[in-house]
Amino acid sequence: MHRKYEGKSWCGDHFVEQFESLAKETISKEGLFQSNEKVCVALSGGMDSTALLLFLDNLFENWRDAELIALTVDEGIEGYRDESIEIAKELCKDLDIELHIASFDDHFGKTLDEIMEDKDHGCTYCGVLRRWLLNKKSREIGADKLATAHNMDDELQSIFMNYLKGDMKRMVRLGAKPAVLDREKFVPRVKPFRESPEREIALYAKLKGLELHQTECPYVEDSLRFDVRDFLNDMESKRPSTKFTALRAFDKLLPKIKDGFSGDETSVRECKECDEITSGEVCKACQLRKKI
Amino acid sequence: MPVKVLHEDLEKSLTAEKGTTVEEIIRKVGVNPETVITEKDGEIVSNKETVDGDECLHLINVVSGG
Repeated sequence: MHRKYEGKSWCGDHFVEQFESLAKETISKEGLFQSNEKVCVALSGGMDSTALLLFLDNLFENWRDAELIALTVDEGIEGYRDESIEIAKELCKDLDIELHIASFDDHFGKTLDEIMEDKDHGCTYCGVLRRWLLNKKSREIGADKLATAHNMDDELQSIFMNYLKGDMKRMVRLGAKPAVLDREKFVPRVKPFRESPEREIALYAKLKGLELHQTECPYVEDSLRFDVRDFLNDMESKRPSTKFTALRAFDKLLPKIKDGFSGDETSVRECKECDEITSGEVCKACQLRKKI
Repeated sequence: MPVKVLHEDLEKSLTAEKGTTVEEIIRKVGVNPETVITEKDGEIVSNKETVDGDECLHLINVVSGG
């Protein structure tokens, strides 16, 4: 494994060691977990989340009193999610981890396939409803933290997208431990792989013998995120370490951004319709639910 | 020397000089090396590794869909 950005090559074993050290460093530096916590991994069955579950399972073996569970959202995407759910089930069975599955059909009365029969922009519906369900369900199963497999590429894409859209409110929500809201209804989210490049997570997953879910979601659409993703990959390819530098620079700015744009902009309340948390009167999920 | 590249259900054949690196092959088929990992005979190979000919490289996409 050659890391162009550091000009070094590693054998498989040492790469795995380095990869895990970086994630452990993120966990320790950002204080992502405390003792006695029940940690729920948002497990789609894709490459990143299966790698995260495996990594945390290994890490938690040495942590007394920490409990690991997994939560999969079944959006109801035939030929796509059903495949990854099988991978998630298999992995949880192998690792002896309790898996919960929450479906769009059960909670919203329709699968994503049914919702999209007369609509466009599947990613909007899917993203909003999935986040709503992840928070609600992880709280119901007693999770203290919700660990997501967001990686360095995801984080940088969000940073650049927010910057290009001038959306400082969303910028405040970024980081390994996004704005912790002191609300009973909010399960704090943590991102142990936030400093790990997406490509290295794939290598780690492969080296650990995980099955990679290769099918592309049928609702994937051309978006600003893809333009930013391609731009960043081009930059990294031409100028190795661009991504690391950009993330470090953002991390230096983040406290200042929080100082300047927190307050009212990150305030939350309960949605008038579903009682879940929202920054407006009615949460986005309820707004979309009315359209389906 | 001939090299075969499998990527996204497509098979591409090209000729490369001995000593060409995996990264150079990936670029030759128009793919950004940042977006794939490469396997040869089911084993992961480094982008710095060189090809010796009559080989088949399998490029696996690592960028997520959304």
